[in-house]
Amino acid sequence: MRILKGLLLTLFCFSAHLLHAQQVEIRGKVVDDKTLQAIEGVSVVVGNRGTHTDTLGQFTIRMTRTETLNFSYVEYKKQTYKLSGDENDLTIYLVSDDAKSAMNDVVVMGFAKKSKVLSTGSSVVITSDDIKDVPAANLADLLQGKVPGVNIQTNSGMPGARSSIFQRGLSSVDVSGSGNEAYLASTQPLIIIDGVPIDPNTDYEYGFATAGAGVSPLTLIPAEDIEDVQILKDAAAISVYGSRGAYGVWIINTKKGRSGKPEINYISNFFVSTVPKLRDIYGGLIERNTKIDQIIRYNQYLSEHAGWAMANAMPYLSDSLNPYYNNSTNWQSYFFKNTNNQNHNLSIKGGDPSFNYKINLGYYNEKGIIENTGMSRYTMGMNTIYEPKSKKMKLTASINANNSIRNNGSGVGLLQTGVATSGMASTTLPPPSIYTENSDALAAFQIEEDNKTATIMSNLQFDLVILKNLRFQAQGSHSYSHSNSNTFYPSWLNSGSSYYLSTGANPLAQYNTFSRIGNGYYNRNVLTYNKTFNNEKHYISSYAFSDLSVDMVRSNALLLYGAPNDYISGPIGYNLSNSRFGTNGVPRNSRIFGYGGNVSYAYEQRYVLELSYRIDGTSTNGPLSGYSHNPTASFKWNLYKEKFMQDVNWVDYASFRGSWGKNIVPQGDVYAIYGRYFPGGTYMGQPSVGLSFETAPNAYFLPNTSNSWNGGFEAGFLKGRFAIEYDVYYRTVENLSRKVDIVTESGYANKPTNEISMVNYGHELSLRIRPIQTKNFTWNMNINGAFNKNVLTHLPNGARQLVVNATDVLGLPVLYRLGSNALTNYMFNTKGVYASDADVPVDPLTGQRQQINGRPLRGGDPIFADLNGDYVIDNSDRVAVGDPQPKITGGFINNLTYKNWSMSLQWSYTLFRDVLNTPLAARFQYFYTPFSASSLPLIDDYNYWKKPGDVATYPNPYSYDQNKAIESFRYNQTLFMEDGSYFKLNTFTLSYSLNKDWISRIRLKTARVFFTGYNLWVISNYSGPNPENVSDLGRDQPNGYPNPRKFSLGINVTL
Amino acid sequence: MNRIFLTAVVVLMLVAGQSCKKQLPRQLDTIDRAATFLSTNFSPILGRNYIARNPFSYGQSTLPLEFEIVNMRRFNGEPAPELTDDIYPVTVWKTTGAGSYTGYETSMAEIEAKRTIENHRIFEMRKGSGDVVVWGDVNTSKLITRPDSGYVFDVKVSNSGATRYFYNLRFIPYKPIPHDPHNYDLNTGMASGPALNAGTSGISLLNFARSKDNVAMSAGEVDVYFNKLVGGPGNTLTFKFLDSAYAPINPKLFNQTQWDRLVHGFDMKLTDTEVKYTVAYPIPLAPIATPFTNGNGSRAAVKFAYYRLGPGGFGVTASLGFNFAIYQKGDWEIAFHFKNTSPKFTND
Repeated sequence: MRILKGLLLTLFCFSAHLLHAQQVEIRGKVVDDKTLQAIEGVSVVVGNRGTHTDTLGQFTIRMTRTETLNFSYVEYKKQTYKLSGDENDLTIYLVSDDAKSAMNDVVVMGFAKKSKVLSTGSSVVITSDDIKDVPAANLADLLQGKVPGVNIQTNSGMPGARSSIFQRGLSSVDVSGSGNEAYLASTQPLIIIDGVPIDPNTDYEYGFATAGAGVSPLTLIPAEDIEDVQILKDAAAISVYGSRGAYGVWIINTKKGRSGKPEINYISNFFVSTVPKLRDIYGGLIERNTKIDQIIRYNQYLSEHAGWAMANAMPYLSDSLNPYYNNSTNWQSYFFKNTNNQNHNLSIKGGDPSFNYKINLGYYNEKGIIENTGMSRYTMGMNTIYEPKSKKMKLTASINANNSIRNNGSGVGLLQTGVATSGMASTTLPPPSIYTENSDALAAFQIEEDNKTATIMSNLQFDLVILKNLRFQAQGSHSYSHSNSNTFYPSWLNSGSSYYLSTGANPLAQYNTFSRIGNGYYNRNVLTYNKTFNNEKHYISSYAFSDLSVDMVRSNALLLYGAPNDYISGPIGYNLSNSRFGTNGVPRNSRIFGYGGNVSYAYEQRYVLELSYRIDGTSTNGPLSGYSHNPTASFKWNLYKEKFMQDVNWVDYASFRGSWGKNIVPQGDVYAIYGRYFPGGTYMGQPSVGLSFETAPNAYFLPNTSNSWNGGFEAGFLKGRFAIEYDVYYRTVENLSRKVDIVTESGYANKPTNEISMVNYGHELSLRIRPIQTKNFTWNMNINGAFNKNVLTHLPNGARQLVVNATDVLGLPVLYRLGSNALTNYMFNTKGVYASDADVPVDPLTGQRQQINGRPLRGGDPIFADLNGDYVIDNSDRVAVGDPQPKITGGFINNLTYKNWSMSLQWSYTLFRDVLNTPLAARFQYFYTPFSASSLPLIDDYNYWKKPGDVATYPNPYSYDQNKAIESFRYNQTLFMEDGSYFKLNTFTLSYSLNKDWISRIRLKTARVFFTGYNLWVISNYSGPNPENVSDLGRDQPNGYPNPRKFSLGINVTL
Repeated sequence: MNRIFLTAVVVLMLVAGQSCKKQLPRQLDTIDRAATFLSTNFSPILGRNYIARNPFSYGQSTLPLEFEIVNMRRFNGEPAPELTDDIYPVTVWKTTGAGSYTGYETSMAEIEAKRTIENHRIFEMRKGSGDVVVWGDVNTSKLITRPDSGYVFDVKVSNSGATRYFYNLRFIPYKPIPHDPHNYDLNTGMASGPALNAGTSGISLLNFARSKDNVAMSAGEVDVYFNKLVGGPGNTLTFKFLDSAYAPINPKLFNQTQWDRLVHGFDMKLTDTEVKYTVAYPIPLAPIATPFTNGNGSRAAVKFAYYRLGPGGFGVTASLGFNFAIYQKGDWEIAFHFKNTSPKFTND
């Protein structure tokens, strides 16, 4: 009976609707005013009826034309809309409510865009406003100090150089190279540019300091074209990128068209890069006298007469009247120059919700402060969205093309060894000319390098609404990059040394070519189902997906020595035996296939629970280790939605989050799992295939795996005056690969294993404060900081300690030690300087003084702690000391606006990091060789030993023969380990928006002029040149590229 | 409600701050499983300072390690109190403050100021480095020497995180030989003859002529005697030259000899039969190159020279060079015996 009643009632209702003859069905879409992202879950109310928007922000509602639509959503200002005319397809722009703005950022969680209310992961969104007005080739430079937990260090001033990026601490402890050129394996986050995933860690086929055209993906896109950068930090946020996301994921979206009228925006700035303070050096006469004095007093015979004889035998020292040797040339001034540079960006966008477009053209030209270095970049990007009014489908297409030209000068990669060497040539030599002693100098000026990289990234995304709550999305993308570098060295400039070819005393011309072609394909298919039940109380969103990425890289190198002619550059003939050619590094053809699903449930937007699971197979997984399974679980409690919080009016919003999850990154190469074969000779007339016995295959090889726990709290108080976001995480990094020596009887020398693991834990805090918000004057502040600590937890074969790079050329190995920070310096503990001969300890048995390399020490020599008490300082006296990783990083940002003026001050800081001041060591080492034609840097400011009895900090620099023999100024000593903490004024920007009344007369919508200073001021106790210009292993680089200061003047005009 | 909210925030912060640190491994010192002694047999000649450097290969161990000899015993398993219990006063160099021996000391007192007496066992292992040390300046007569199998001992190697024992290292010393060069049999301690011939002594002659027939004299015609005299003060060194009849030759005939720079000795007494110095033993005092030693400081180097007009009236400087070391304190006499004929000192 009751059922019947219900049916009758329903029928009645229907008929009532039918009776209302004027009612029409109105369709519409609700989007964010700024980001143009669709907003899900907006309540749309007409009278007493209501509905919510779906995941595409769409709604339909039946209403009469006289009624008013009310839109409301927590983080946005309420809005009403009255239908006009006969429109029935609406687009509503909701304006965010500043007080709750932190909650209305739309974040990507997995493959679905969600409002932050429902997102359970930890992520940060950086918008175009945060990175504007600063000319930079690399986006990473603009993000420094803005994202808590992301440690960005601009460790080279080379235009377009890769910055070092660590998200939530170390992800690898793999060290390659040696000496000051040793580097830590790159573990930068996966970058997704307009849907195209690009792994920034793959372009290392050339190594760190070798030639090649390596380009960071963060330099591919002009910063002016970026709408936002989403930085996904914890496992929940990363989950769906789990096959490559363990180092973090950054999603970069370029701007999109939205205004009905075409909008043309032009941003231009001219900037000056200025040379920082360089090394002071002694000029001309002082240099000569110092060297002669050194030889007389401290030659190996300790004899004045012998010294005079030695000095006189060197015309370069003794023949001071010869004009060739009678100069005072400041070589550095020939290499380092202030440069004028420019940056232009033009974008055209327009369209309406059903079809819109954007085209962006960019030109960036920055000449490096070192002669003959620089980068210019031409970019063209466009995207378009087509979404017919039926909203049944949506098509998004984007393409970003880029052509960069780089000049590395005579340096390669990050280093400028050529300039560093020739910049320190003796001042007494004549300045550069076609005939000069200093051919490295000419090489730096004259060698032309043709180094181009072309990149095209294209992406196509197709959305289809199958049923009301069921959507299908297919996405495909392709990235292609081709790098080429050709360099010709005429014979008189060919030292060959930078390419490890021995060229002899009379070198011939040389032609070098590098080429690299990379292709990346990516496809994913997602099926999404969303449903709300019971008056929006329950909300379920779920999706299943598959994704496939293919990565192919091939690179070749030719070093052709002995070209017949100095004037016709090209490989027209070469000396076969002295040349090198072939593939460069390991050609790659790797695939990753993954599939999985995700379910998210929300109760009244108050409690959110999300579970996801993905299964990944990578082509560098061992065939027997199978697919890896990566689950994630996360929750969020939106505290402020609780009833008991309704009367707490000083809290705008507050929520707790928690997540656990597992992600991987493939590591190693195909040789690690299958071994390496090579064509042998013929055996009994048959071709043979040999097996390389160097590395044994490991069929159980695993990817680098991250297991992370994250807890978070975010809240806003006092109507947007104050907001806080706090995260704590504990992340284990497991299965790190390392080749372990195995017994020779196995036939192989070593085997790749997955036995290293470590833990990162830390805290991240971000505070947003708005002390003043008046009509004319606003002041916004952001203070953020992150603490990170890493601990090594496992080593191969159950070892507790491992010295890596034990045979390092500069004696600078890295120590892995269980329970300690993952990377530890291993060096001599310097305790001062022996005041006199009698202070040197004597072996009671032999009567010999303490010795180094067989040389007894004397007054003025360094005191290295004799750890084992054998009166001999050798490698067994090294101690584990220092942590090259910064413990605390962060920044603070102040934005002030007054009427049309605005000012922004952005600081970043890095604290508690041990840096090896190798430039200072190198400065003293210049005194090792008074016979060589190199200049002497100024050391007057240092407290060094001068006479017996002196209590000094630095050993006697003039005692060259002894110093060289005992390596007094060796890099690997605590004397040169300093605290590398610093505060840096990243940018200062002052801008003025022209009055709209004035500019509308010349048909401009907006116009702004701005002045920006970049890298203005570094406050630090560090005594080296720059505590930021330091490698990830905490080693300063005597041959590094200094970071320039930049001053820029620009305009931003919209038509 | 405010209170609940604030409490929740504080609790979360505390929990977060104290998370999971207990799960991490402790930082401990370690001894590499592959660490081992590279040499396990130590066979020094007794009576002289001996050091075997870096006998231990520490691999990936945490340094410094601590070494300790345990269970020193004779080869047949009997205890060896002469090594474990007996303590001897040993002359050692002062480690700090005095400076090292340079060869430029101008008096015995100055040398002795750099040395001091310490008590040591004969056979020791340096605590930090594992270097094996045998002190020479002691009476080693109690020790069992070759051809006996000597001693066996174990070594305890430890640091703050680990301890390992290495078993059955051997100490098989040779009998003390007081000087170098020598003609003793190391196993029996017996000399093969009273004198060292040129092949053993390594003596070098330059431009010597025989007085008998004015023919060039070869090194094989000179024997060297090491004699330990009794009854002296115990710190002298005497050089003598003997003719074929064992009669002394006047050392003053070696007129080009730099007597004051011959050895690092003092109170030189040059007589018609011998030259005598007060010296500090051992000779050389330390393996340090000085004007009185050979290039690496392992032996003292003496050179006796004279000038005469040779054939055709050309001036000739003749010289006799000899490198030696004496490890035992005493009144030593080194005699050069021209066994066929005396050298010719007169002009041609």
